[in-house]
Amino acid sequence: MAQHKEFESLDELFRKTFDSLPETPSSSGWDVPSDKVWQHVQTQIAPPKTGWSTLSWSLVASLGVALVLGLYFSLRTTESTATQQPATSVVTTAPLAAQPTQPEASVATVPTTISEVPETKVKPLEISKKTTKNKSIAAKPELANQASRLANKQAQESQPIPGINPIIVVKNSGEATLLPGIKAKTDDPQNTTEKLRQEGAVAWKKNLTPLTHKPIRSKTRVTLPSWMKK
Amino acid sequence: MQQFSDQELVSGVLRGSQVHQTALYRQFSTAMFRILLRYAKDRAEAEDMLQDGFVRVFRDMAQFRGEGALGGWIRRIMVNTALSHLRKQRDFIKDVPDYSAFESKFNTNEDFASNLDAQTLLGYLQKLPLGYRTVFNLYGVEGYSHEEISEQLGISIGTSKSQLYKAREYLKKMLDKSFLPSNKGTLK
Repeated sequence: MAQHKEFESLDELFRKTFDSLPETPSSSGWDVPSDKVWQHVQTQIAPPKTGWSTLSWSLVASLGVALVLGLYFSLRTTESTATQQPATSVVTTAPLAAQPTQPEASVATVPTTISEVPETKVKPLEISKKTTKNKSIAAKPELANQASRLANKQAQESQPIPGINPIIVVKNSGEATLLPGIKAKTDDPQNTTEKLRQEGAVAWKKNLTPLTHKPIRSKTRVTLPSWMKK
Repeated sequence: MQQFSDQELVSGVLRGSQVHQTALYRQFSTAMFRILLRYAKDRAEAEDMLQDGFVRVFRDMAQFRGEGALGGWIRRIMVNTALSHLRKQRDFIKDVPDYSAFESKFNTNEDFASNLDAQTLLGYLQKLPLGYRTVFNLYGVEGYSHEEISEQLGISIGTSKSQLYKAREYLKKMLDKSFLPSNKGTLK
């Protein structure tokens, strides 16, 4: 019994009492901590998740796929533009010398009829109006005769003004006709296409000058897309 | 439960083995809980201290150099954890203003001669004011010197001595009134 213990001081009483306790927990359980203590300790000492979560992995993967696809399509568009660019340059530098037969054919068929007058002399707005008129007139023969008579009368009354291009009347067949009293200018074509066609007919017969050496530029020139330049 | 040596426990915990972590906790939790019960005012506070103490033990296990027993190293960590808990309390190391109110709490008629055991003494300790209890535990039970206590608690040596003196006086009065009426023991 504690009553019979020989202790010299208060300090020794407490020290001996606490030190003499058995290692095993008491039956009453006063010196046993509750289980929640260990559970909390376990949660706190659990190693932190250093690995990336599934969400972060999926985000990185999708970003990588998008980057690869973007790079692929940007390179693809760059290659297509690089292959198209030399073709256009060839056409612009010597188009007529490269294809001499086509201008020859056009020169051989010198425009003699009104229908072959260059298109640039045609006023599109008037043509379309008259075309629709003619269509409606053609449906009714009486009206067509009346219209043609009226047109002849107007042409006789009106004098051609010098320096003004002739007005072309387009018939249902698609051919253009000059009004009476107006001469078509066929010797000096104002159309650039016609000029080039005529020049090409002659140019192929001339001696070709040797091509000067130009450094070849790389076809695969990488141009960054606009969103990457920002 | 499987028994491990100190070295096995340390190496297992350092490897992150849950088996060794559990074994270490089961092996030392009761002893450490008894110590912390002396510093805490109640069981809940002691459990909080125990939880924080074991977290420190597992976290700082690499600092254990094996120079002494593992139990002694864990015990020091537990005492330090208890002191850091107590320092946060506002009335730490504070004189009791009304001695009579404190004394009346322990004026019981229980037969302490037959019930004096660790649990009973623990009850007395836990009812001491915080400063008295802490200094008495450190000096009387743990064996710290007044210099060490002053460093640990951030108080002067004189304050540590006065706190110890007052703690002894309170305990003597409690025991004299309840346990020593027959004068079978002599308290100095």
